Amino acid sequence: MATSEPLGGSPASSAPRLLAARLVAVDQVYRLPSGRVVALDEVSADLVHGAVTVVAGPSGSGKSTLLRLVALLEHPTAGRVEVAGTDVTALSARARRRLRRRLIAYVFQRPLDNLVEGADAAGQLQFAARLRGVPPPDPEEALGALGLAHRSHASIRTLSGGEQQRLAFAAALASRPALIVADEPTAQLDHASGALVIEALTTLRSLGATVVVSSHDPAVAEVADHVVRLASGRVVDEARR
Amino acid sequence: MTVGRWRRSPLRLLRTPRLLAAAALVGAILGVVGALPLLFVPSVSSGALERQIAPLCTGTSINPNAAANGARVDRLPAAVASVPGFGTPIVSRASTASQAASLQLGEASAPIGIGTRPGFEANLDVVERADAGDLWVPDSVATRLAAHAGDTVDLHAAGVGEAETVVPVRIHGVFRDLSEQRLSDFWCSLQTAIAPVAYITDNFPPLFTVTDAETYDRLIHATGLRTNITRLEVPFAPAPTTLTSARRSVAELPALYEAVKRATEPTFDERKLSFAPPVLLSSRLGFVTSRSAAIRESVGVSITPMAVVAIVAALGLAVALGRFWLDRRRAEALLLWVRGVSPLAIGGQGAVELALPVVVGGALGWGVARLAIAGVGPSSSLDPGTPAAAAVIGGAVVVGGLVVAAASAAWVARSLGDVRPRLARRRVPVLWEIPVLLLAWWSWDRLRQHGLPLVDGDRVGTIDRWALAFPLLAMIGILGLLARVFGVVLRVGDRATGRRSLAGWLAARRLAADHRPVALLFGLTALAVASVVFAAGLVASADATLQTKAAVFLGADTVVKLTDATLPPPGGLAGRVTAVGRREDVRIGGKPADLLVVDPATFASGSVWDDSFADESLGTLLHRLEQAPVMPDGAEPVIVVGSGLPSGALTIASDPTHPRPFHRVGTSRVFAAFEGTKPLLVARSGAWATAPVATERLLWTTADEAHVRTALRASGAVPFYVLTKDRVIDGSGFLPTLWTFAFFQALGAVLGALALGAVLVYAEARQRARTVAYSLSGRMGLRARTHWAALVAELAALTLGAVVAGATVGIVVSRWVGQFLDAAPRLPPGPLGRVPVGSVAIAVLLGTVLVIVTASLVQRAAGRADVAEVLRGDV
Repeated sequence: MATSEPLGGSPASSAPRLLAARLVAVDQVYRLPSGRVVALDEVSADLVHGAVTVVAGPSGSGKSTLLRLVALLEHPTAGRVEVAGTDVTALSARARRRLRRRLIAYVFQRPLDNLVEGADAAGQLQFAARLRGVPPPDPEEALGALGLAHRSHASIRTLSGGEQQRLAFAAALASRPALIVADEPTAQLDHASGALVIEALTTLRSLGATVVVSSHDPAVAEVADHVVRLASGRVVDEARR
Repeated sequence: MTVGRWRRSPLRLLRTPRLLAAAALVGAILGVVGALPLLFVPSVSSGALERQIAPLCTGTSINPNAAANGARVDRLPAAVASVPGFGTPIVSRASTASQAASLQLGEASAPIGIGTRPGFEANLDVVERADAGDLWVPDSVATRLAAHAGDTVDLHAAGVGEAETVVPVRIHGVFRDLSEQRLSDFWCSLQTAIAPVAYITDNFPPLFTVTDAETYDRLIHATGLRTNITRLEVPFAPAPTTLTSARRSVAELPALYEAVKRATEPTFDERKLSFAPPVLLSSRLGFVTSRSAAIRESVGVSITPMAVVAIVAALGLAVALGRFWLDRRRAEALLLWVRGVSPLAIGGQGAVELALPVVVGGALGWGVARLAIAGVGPSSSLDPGTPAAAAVIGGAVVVGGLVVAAASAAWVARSLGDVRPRLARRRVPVLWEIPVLLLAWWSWDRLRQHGLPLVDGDRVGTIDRWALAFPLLAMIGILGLLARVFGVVLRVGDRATGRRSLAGWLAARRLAADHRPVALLFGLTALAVASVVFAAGLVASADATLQTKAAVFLGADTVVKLTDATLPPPGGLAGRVTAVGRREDVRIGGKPADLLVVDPATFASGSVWDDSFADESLGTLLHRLEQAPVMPDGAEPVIVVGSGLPSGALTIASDPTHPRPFHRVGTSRVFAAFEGTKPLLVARSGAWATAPVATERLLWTTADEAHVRTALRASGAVPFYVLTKDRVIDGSGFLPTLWTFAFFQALGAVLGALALGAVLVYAEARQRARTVAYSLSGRMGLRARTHWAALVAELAALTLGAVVAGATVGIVVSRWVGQFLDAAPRLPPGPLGRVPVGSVAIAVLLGTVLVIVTASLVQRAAGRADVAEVLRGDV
């Protein structure tokens, strides 16, 4: 198991240039009935700890694939993927799942997909924390940070799409992951709700979380510390603040 | 709030009623298939016991040889009472008609026998009664004496070597003559007194009168008559209704025998006084018990593979349930999967959620199996512990199903978040039907060589398990191929439907889009229908064959010989009776043959006939027999039945010097009264006028025994005997075969429920897609009626298509197998094929109802859905 630069265990403990994840010359190729599809081609990127990284690019550029590799949902065809200092390239599906449970919080594009039925807003935080075996946060404080303090006992069905997505980030944070991976979290939201979610991202950064977001929304890229632009499976641009 | 939701998991299913219903249905099916075999097999042995005990007077009886043993009889009740497991003996006594006794009133006289048995009054069909009296007499005696209840008549009797005594007796009541009725078990002990051997030789047989024990003793004492029949019926306490209790009772018989032997051991003085014949104790229970055990074992061996297949099929349904649960919890399961929760834990959550309805359904299934056995099983009596054992096994199958459902959900959850495009794979079609059909062919070959039931004389018939596999393999193989063809037709057929009807096009598109699951569902439904129709067809054919064989053996459903052969057929049987003459001592060219002399005008109305008997109809044959002229040489027209008719004229044993020539006007393979071992000639009445053939005159009728006896009574005719077809063949040896297929049919019904559930799941699984499509196309002008018609067409193609395919295959396979299912191969005709019209009609009706109701429900749900929610994906 190769190790890169050391990483802090807690999202709150930030240290400059510590890496949350690293991709080294990663290829991801799918074989379809219509032929080979190269989703990622020689992609290398360092995702910094305690920062908000945005993976940007047009549809079909490989954003989601990159996120899925980082979130340990897939393994690459070639190259190396490290997450939290661990080379996960050759890990078995079971080992990846265990690591995922310990380190990763994944936020889906559709807000409701991130929440469990039958629990109120505070319950979502408690559930996420218990699933990872960490003490649950104070709901008032955790929800208040994302502007949801007044909704702590609300059923998820009564929340707006933007509130649901912010609650999803709150729940992700409640599990104290090494890395929060969000796949186009504003894609299904209107402008106002999207703006609130983007604000939530900055809040997460201020709380020390490491966030990797895919998006083609320029507004999301504006709050990013690090932007990786993809086109046709290749990194075409990379910018850091 | 919060994580209490996990503790409330079992209740979450209440919010998804369709999933709840599916889980309960699967639980019920698991419960049924788990419990049914365990309940069915003991029911078989109890049923076999009941069927054998009732008609054969199988109760244990003691014949103390009363005439010689005298006072020793009195010691028997106490002796029997000392043995546990037996009730108080019932003593029946009779002074039979072999002694001179008669009732007289004025000049009229009627010979009688006298008997007594406790409780006799309740077992008589009373015609009239007085408040008090001495003797109950049959109505034939009352008629002969012109006496009524309350009248006093003289009882004339003469004991052996004694002078005749006359005792006045008052008639207490008049009952319908016992010899005119089918005797119930109650009269078993006195059967020989009621229908004595002398009966068939006397012009007017002595008739059985009956009275209470006290009067009986008084009359016997006063007249000097002797009791020559004494029977002690010893009831088992409790009566054996199951194999376990029957075995216990059989085990107690030696103790009873010892007690009886000790009690009746003659004392020294008794030995000196007279010869003391041994006391006879008889019971057929041992034989019946061992035969029932053999029937049980035979059925158990036959149904075990079917039961295992049914359990495996039900577990397959549990797999589908697990997938269905995961489908309904997909979003949540995906969230858990992404957060690293193991598939096993996800499956475990499924098990927790599904446990309650599955277990409740399983309990209901056990109850359904119990009710089914009680209602339509061979017997409702089960061995002690059987329901509990069935509950344990059924429960184990239910729990196993739950585990399988959870494992199935876990298996799918393994790759839940794997959204990678599928790797290109060349799909190689697996033609599994070919090896299945090859196995079926091998099984068919075995069937042809060995037959299906191995009936050997009186032994219990067993079924060759490998031969039994043929129908199942054949149906699975053929329907598998049909389902494959159906799938191909669906894929290519949607192009042909577009131009004619929008509804048809919609239906074809939907079926084509899901052609694989639809073809699978088609095959499953067709297999269920085929199983039911096959088993029903086979049982109906076997039953019809057995009934026809018995009727052919007799010639009709009921045969009557009157004491006065000159009487015309009773008017009450008009249109259902014919008079025939029968001789069995006929020879043709020196070889034995049978002769039947019939009235062509009425023969068809009273005799048995099946169109398979001959290439021509019975009407045609009889018409030709009636119309054909007598040849110049005196040759009478005859119908020749059977093969191997030698040449030559007909002669009869009592008159061998008068040959009676005949000429053939028709042939038949089987005919009423044809025994199969020698040819039968059917001539018209009045044949050979110059040398008439005296025959035994019989009345043949299609009416049942009760109807016949009523008609005889109304006409005043006295039957010499009444024979019915159900007394011809002891079908108990064939019970394993019939019950095996009854079980097959029950499993087919379970499979039908399974298919019904699968169709509903199919409709449910596509509900969201249908709602979305309907919401969108409704906005573009699709009418509700057209959408409903499309749903009906889609479901009808699947369900009714499967019903038609399944029924056809079931009928064909039952015909194939039926030709080897011969309960009594020595009796003609061979196996007859019957189409189970009722089962087919029920399947079509259920299929139609299912299609219309499901289509209407789906349409209603689609019409009520909120379009905004649909498009947001919340529905």
